[in-house]
Amino acid sequence: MATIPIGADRTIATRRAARRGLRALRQAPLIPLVILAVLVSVAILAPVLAPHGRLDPVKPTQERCLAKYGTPDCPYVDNVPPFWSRGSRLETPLGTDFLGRDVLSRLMYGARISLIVALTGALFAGAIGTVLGVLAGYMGRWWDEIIMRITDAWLTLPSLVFAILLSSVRGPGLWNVVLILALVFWSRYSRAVRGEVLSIRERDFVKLAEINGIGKLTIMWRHLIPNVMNTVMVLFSLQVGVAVIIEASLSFLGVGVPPPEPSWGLMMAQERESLMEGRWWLEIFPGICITLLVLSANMLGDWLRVRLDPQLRNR
Amino acid sequence: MLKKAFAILSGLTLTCGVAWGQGVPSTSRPILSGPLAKLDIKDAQVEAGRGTPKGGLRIGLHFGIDPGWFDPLGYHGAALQFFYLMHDALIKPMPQGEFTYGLAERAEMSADYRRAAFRLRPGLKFQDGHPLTTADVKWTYENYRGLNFKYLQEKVENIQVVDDRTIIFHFKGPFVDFLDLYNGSGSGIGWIVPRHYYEQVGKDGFKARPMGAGPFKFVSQEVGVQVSVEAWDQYWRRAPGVKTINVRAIRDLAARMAGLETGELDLAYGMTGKLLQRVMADPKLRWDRNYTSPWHLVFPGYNEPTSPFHDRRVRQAVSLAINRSFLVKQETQGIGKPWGNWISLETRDALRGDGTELPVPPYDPARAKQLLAEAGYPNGFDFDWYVPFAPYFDMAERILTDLRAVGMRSKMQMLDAPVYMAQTSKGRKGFPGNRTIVQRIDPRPGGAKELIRLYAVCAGQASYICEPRIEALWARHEASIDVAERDRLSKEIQRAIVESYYLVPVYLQPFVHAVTQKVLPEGEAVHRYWDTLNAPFPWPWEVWEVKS
Repeated sequence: MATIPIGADRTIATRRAARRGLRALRQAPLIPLVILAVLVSVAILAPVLAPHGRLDPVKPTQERCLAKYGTPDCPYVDNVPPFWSRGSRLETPLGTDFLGRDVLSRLMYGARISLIVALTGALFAGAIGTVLGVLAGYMGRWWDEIIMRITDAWLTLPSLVFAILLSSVRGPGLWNVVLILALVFWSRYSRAVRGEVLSIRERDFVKLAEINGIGKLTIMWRHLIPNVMNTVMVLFSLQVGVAVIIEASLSFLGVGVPPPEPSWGLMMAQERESLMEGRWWLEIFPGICITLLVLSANMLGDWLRVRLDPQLRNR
Repeated sequence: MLKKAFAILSGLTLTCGVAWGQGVPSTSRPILSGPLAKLDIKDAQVEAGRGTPKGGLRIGLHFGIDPGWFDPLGYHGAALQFFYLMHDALIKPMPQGEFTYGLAERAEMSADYRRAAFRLRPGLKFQDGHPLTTADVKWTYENYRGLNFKYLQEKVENIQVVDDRTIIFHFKGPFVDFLDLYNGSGSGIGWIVPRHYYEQVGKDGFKARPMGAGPFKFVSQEVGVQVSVEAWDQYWRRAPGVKTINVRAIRDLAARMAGLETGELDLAYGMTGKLLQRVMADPKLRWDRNYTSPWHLVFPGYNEPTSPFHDRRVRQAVSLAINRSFLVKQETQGIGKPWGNWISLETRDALRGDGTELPVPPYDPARAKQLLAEAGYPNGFDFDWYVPFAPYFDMAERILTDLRAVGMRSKMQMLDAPVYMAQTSKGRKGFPGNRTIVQRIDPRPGGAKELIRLYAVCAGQASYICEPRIEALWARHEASIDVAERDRLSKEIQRAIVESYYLVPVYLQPFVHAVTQKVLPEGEAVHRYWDTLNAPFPWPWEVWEVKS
């Protein structure tokens, strides 16, 4: 009879887990992950990576001023074209905007604003929605009735119109946009979480905890919330993309992040006229950034949904 | 005594000129007994033959439309273009002169400025056919709740309706400025509202479906977005030239430009900014500068000690930080004019801000930084908001960049025009806190003193300034009936305001409009539509003609 050395069980389990992790990683959507990693790194390192400030115009040389305005002294040179056009400058590879500010630097800082707003907005919405969903699902009765009727009513509101309405009440501002996103999106979490809790609360471990006299708050905190986190994570990753779009739309409409801070939506709004003048890149670059971020977040969310759902995972 | 009388008389003659108009003279039968002040009110040009309205005019307005602007009783600014469309006043600014007869065929003011009288034209009607009488004039005056209403109503002792066409205002004391305020520009009180209709539909009903005695009848509106009117061919002066007018609120400059280029619009306002060069280069468009009023900055709550703008040096630094000549080049292709006063050059008794009477403010960022350091802000400071007038957000961001360059950092609050105007019309009360800069413009026909009364004295309805020195000068102004002295005091106040930087002038706005080939007459003669003194918009509307 073969002897099994002490600790071998744990080694086997660890190896299995590592193999599973590796397999999952191999199936992970690499391109979205890379894009997200790049965007997050750029957002975090914007003050280091950006060649110029986000708010101040690039200091022009006397020659530049002379060439553009016929005077040796000017505070900035506006609308410098990007690197592939004649008249471009190496120090501003994507050109400058109508105020002589470096477009590349503003895009980098814009990533910071978009991510901060989208992540924190979706996070707060998730926190509110999860708590309310768990309460409704577990406590039942009038808790369920009240919370779910409010949720249903909330879900009928068109999100962008509702966000604009809230924005006009609260006024523009970065943290106001975060608050608005939280207020707009919590209901999606609470609806999904409540459904999940209705099933979990009937399981043996919850019943056993109840029989042992454990308090309702503890059950919710220790048994229910950890078990709905998969759903919350999937929803969160999907909501981030939507939050980016809402933030960009609010800023585009002038009720989001106030100028001169560089938000991608605002950058697009400010350069609408440039499209008519043939300076399409000023409109396209922030648009590309928004598309990449939203697509990546959505693809990652989709992958997470498949990974965390046992039925879909084993298909 | 004789000397004083002579001074009053010569002052009146200087400012008012001789009381002879052009065209058909008004009925000369006097209303008031006793000596009269000489008034320079031009006669209306009533056209003998009545043409037929043809075609439609589509207008692109650069800000949202507030239905409240259709109601003269609640006038708070920006509404005059709609008043000229749908309503009419007893006297109003017209191309012939700042004071021109409208519904009234005769106006008189007693020499002691204690009585004013009007005689209406015979056979006047509202658009529903109901007769317009002095009862409507009295009711409008008594029910007016817009700008200056308290001031106007407190001054009146009683209003005497002599008959259906004759009305006399009796004042508690000399009311020298009455005609300035009643002239259809200084307030909404001179625009006559149909009492029978207003009482029937109520305030909100009137805003939703206004009706007056003007050349165009209201047809429909999409609240905030557009309003359509059609010609009322029984208008007393002439039949309107165009059959319909549609005013659309299009805040986006690119959309207005596209509207002009595709023929969706026939006239668009506010074409300065990024696309002005394109407008100027387009052979199919005709454009013109219309110097309306200077942009200026105000500091709500500056006189509270906790405000950074309490210190004159900080306000001066704001002025020195703005690169006006570059700003004018960027925003207006150089056709705007850096200006040293906050009151329009076309305004009566205004000091010119081009260096002749008030200096053009210099650009000196180094001095601005030094002043900030002396005021206790060596590293500059953050202030809450910079609030521009919609939709001039690019211009505002340029100014914000200039301020930032010397250390005054803030963010921009982008309000839509109706909200902005509602807030600015409350003056200091419209902006909580005391760390805000508001960018303003007020192209208001009339005298400089009306702007001072509104914005620069403690009791002003939209007051931003409350200073003992200005109050003292204003009290003397109000007490005087010597017109020359009043003018001198008005100019002294303007100078004090500018020299203390309570208001910081920026540049004279060339309010550029563009019209398509559809608008008649062809060629440059089209600019005649902007002949009314100090008018930002091309009223009167009844003279507009388009190719049908």
